[in-house]
Amino acid sequence: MPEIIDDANLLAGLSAAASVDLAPAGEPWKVLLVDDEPDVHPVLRLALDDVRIDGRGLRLFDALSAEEAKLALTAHPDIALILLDVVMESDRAGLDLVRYIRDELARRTVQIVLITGQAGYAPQRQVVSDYQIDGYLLKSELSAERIFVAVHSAIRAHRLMREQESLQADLHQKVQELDATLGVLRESESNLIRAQSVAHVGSWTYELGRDEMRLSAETCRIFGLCAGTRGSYESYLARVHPDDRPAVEEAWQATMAAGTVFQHEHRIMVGETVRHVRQQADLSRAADGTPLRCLGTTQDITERKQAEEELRRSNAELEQFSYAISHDLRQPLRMVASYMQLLGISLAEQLDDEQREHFKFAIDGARRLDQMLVALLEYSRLGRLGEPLAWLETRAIVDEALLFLQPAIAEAQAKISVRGHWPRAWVRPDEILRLLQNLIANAAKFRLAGRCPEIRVVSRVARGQWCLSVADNGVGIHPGQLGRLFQVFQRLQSRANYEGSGVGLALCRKIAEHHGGRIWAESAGDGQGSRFCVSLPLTGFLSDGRRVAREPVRAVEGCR
Amino acid sequence: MIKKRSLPFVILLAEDEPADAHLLRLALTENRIRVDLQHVLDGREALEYLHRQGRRFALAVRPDLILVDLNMPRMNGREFLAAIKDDPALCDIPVVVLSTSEVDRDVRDSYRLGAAGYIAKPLDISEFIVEIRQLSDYWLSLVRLPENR
Repeated sequence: MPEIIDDANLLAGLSAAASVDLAPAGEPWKVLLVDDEPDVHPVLRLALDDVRIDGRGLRLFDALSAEEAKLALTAHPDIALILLDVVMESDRAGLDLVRYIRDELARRTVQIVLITGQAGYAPQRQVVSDYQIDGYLLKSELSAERIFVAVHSAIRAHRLMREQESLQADLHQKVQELDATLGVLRESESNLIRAQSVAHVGSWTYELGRDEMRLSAETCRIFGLCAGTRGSYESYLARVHPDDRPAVEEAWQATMAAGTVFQHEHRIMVGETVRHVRQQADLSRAADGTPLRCLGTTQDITERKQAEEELRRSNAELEQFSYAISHDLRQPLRMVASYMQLLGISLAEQLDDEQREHFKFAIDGARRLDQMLVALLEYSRLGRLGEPLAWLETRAIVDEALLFLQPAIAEAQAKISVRGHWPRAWVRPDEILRLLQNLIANAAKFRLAGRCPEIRVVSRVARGQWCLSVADNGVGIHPGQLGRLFQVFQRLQSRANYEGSGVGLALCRKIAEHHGGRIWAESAGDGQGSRFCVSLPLTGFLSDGRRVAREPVRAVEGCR
Repeated sequence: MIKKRSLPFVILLAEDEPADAHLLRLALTENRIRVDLQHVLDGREALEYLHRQGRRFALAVRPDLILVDLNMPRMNGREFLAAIKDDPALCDIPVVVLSTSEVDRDVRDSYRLGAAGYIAKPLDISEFIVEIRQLSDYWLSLVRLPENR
């Protein structure tokens, strides 16, 4: 039957390009022939001899009973087609085998073509639908051509089913992968939700076209809404504190008009309570510039705002306190001193020396109290006036301090030497000037009678610290007294010998600490001179937590 | 027309503390400065004086100089400065602040509000007397400003 084989080749050629080979190329399709009549087998073999389908030949297996067929099916799970006689050891043996294959072995892709001599035993339509039969041949009509066509279409069907099966397997795998990805996503989403609730930061999206706002669980919590609530621009505005609405609208409109970022701090009303939130959102636009959607975050800054408010209040209170010192307390004191003086003058003729001295003590006391009030005021104000940080040539500031101190230095006849490496430093210039002035003035003031004061001012840079020391050959400090030095109104020397406000060193300590540094004193003891050392970080963190930038070029020099 | 007067200089003092006001009188006397010192107790009274409001101030004379304390009840020195500098009829009268405060901010604020001078009253009466002499040397020797523009 050369024409049929040609036809088969033609069909094979047509489909080869479009289909995918599931078995290794060239491996034959396995076909099981099941018939209890041994004579039928050679007929079938003859009809299928040399047949190639999709470029692959056939490999035929023979079974003379349903039992043999089962064994063959077990040995060859990749059998593509079974040509099956319906009536064998029993009338239904063939159909029972079909049920076994479909139900017990659950083989869906193996094609089953029934061959029967008695059509009455298996009415075609019912059998085909009930038993998933793929073809039906009557023995009486068996011809090489019919067999070939039936086998050919069955193998094709098998092949399609296998392809579909493989696609399904692929799909199944992809679905599983997707499930795994979804799992990871779900986990990261739940992490996000947890992170949002820890950080008090919620997120939201806003679709401008639909005027729809979707809120994360945390955003809902901040706004006091049920999780999953959706909103609109108007419903958002309705929750903004009435006093803040115009500003919010203005900021929003400005972003819509020209911006890409919406950033605003405002209050919201959650029932009767007021919360502070910080809104921050990115706006994406269409190619023509139309705003499309916003992706934003809502941060609950209520606590921060309350802390700021508290700080403002306590600062205002301190300011009030300072003012009370500088005015309200000093005013009556001035009255005491002034009228004591007036009394002293008007009574001058009548007073004896002792009484005059009493007047003097009273007035001196008032004067000293006034000095202390002024000093206390200065001490309390330091660091609150907000002198900004700036780059300072420290060597220049020493000269400035010495200039201010010229009268005191001249009076003490002090010799002053300035040595070492003086860096450029990121500091509050006026405070550093004050620090140097106080230390040098002290060195000149606490001198020993009869000894010419020598003051050595030394600066060096080590491990990112600016170390400054002022050493003298003066009265020195008793070792047990070192701890008291830097406290307000502590004096180690009698007032009779050394005048002073009593806050000089306390101020120095405050300045050093305000710059994130420290101050300490060293002395071998009374009459042994003393040395005051200050160490300030050239870079790093200040006491208020702000980070200071390291100046690139000079910092290298500073490390030499 | 500039009206020449042989009357002594008129100084309006706004000061709520009688003892402080008395010290100023003493300082003026001590310096032999002949002035007509009009004393009111706060900024609001000072404005009433300047606007000749009420029977008490119906015959008030326009002062050549105003001395004002910063801390006063009802209307303090800052508020008074702001009010008088806002009034075209009064803004030419020089106002010198007399205060106990040496706080930078008070000094700056006062000048910013248009004060012509700022005297931080010293604790020592003798220093105060010197301050007042300097004040009179400067302000009271200046040509008097026209009463009306």
